[in-house]
Amino acid sequence: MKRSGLFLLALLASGVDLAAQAVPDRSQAAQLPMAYRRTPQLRVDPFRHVMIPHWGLVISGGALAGNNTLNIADVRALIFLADRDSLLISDVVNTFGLVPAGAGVVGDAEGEGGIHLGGPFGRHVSVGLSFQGRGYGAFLVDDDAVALLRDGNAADSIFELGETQGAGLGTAELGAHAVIRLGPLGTEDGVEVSLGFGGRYIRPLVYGSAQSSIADSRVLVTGDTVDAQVDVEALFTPDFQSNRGSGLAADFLVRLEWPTSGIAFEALLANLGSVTVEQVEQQGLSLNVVTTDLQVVSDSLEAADFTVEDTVEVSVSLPRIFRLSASAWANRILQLDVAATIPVGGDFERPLAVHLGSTWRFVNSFPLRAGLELGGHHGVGVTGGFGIETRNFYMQTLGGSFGGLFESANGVAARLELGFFF
Amino acid sequence: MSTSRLLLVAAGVALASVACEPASITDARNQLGRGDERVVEFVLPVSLDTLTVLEILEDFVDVIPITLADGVLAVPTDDQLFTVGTGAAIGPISGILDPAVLNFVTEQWREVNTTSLNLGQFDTAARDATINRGLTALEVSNSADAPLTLTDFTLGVVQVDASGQPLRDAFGDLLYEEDTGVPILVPVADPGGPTWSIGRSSIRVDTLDAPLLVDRLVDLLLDGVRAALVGAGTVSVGDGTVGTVTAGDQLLVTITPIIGLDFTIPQTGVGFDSTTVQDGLDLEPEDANDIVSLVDSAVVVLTVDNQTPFAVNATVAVVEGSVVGDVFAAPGAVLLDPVSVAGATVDAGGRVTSATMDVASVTLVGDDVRPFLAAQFTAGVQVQLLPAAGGRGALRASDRVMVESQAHVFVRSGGAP
Repeated sequence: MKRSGLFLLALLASGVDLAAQAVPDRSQAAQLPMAYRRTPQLRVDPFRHVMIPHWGLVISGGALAGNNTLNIADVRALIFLADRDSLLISDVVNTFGLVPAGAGVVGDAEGEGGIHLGGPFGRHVSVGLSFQGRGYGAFLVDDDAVALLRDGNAADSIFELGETQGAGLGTAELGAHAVIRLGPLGTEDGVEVSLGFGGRYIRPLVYGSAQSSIADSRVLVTGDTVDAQVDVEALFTPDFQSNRGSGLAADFLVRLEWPTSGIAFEALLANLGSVTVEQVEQQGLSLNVVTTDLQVVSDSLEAADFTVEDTVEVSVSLPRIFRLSASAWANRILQLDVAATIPVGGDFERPLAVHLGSTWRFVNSFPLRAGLELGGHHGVGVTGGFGIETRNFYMQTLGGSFGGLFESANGVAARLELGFFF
Repeated sequence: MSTSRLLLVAAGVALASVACEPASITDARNQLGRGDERVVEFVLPVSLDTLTVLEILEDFVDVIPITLADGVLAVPTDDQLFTVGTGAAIGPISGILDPAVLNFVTEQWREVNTTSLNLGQFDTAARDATINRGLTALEVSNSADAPLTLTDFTLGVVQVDASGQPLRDAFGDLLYEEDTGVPILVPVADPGGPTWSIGRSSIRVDTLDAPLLVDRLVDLLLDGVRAALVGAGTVSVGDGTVGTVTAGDQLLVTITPIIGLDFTIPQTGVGFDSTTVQDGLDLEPEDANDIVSLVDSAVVVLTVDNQTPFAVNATVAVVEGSVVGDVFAAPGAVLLDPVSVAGATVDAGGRVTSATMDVASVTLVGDDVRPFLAAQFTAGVQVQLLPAAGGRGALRASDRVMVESQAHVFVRSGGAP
């Protein structure tokens, strides 16, 4: 295995043609333009634009957010009631009743927007520069913490904050990415290998996080006693600033493509890096009360408030993206894609999600897209979109509704790309 | 704008832009109530209070009780002041004063007003119970430069007619209140003798046991019968030595009946009522309606460690607002479940020897909770004190009631149409 791998690398480096089984000169699969074989993603994809082998300017933006409890109609109802000062205790109780047992409340969001300028130098190399704003956020309210309000305390009396935490980061990023294309290797229908790499210089704009500052923040509620030992630490930047630290991130891509066979495999590893956020305000909140009187608890809750403790520097690991993709197309009409985005660490981590997509090009320049998204916080979601793909201009629109359709969705995603090629 | 708020607003705007706004508040509520209908139980501590008998009494009587020598509490009534004109009775005199010669018979009475009892809301209970411990505190001030001696001097109670005069028989003698045919008379005498002496120009205080007298006086007054305290007997002046009595000399006698909180209660018990106005949660009507619809039921469980001699049956009615009069008959009054608590075990003197633990519960359903959600509510309590074994109970300052109350609140959620 090791020997064959070295041999393959040697072949890639030398560019020596190998004899192989030939495919028909006019392969239907090969008719799919190279620029559009790599389908757009709803999720962060640092190589999205540099992989397009034309010089051009792309303006793009996208966002994805979801949770496991509230759908869009729920959120809208909460906002509707809050705007009218009509949010009642029963509404809060009903909302907690929606939290799935055993899961707690989890949610996350990511979004990006910016411009990209780049294009190829010859047949084998493309480079691109990008300037983007990105945001990540994730929160978890431990099921043990939710259970007090959702299930009462008749069966269980200790409620721990556990893993409860939340964090968000907004950044401005300047990136440079390059792709080296090799191949076709061996024969004219051999594999084409794309190796991508790049880096981004990151300036944090805003950051916030909150979590328990002690190992066992918990509330004990029995018919005799309320014993609350809760200590929470909040870290946040009080306003937007661009000079509060910096960071670096690296992205890597390997793509193997057999154009004439209509098959591609890809591995993406991105967001390897961290950001140092300076001038972060550290605040603490303590609720330590042991009482037999409910009124004392009420008074303690009213008195509890965050107090500024320090100004600190925080190192935030970016959510690493590891994505394995595969694509297949028999002709230019239909392309099938599967992409699995796998969590591999870092803050704001998202759960495993697998996207099954299809692209239909009944008219060559007007692709239609439909797909399914599995996993995440939502179970099953649907995605769709359409595009305009020409030599000098392209537009991509994508949308996703996760866990249900439209108002019933507890996750949504959208992306818009406008490209102008020279 | 803070960072967190900005992010929340951004998230809200993003989601709001995707969804249509609910058509109405009801639609919005129904949306949040889309979960499965269920009832969740919350068990909460409400309070753990230890109430001493003194604290309890402060709510019911109008004066701070005093403590007798054996620790039993007592409530003093107002002072009754008598004046005996010694100078006027025997005239100014100076020299050797012979008490065998210088003496006179006196009869002083003073009508006692009901308001002097100071029993507050405890009055009906005191009327229906037998007071086992009654005292009269005496304070006598002699202004004459001669010793005085009271002989065959007694204190008694007589009823007073409409004109304010004490009732007398055909011979003009006072009709003292009787106990089983015998007039209730408390001798004012030093131990072992029929006389009670006070030195020249001095003040003497004394305490006399007078349970029958005090019990009868209290019963008469609380039954609305006018009654007077009477002191009668012979006053002798001098002791065979030199002394002086001027025309203005007098004997000032202050008598204070003291009601010992040592009762014998009939087996049927004695009752008294209490009405208090308390602060509620002060919720807006919409919030109050919400709570009423939210709470399926609530059970308040009271665990009582009773270290008083009496068992208690209490019935409580609550009504929204500040209500004057009978809370139980007030429109909208909510009658709560009666609460019964057993009394402690007592000795022969009615004093607690060991506390008794008891559990009681009150269930609130639907609108029952509404009075507690208003700015104020009035609670009317009908308390029935029941006797301990032997029927006698004496309250001491060390007696107390420990009440641990916890609420089991059953809350509805979900199930919206």
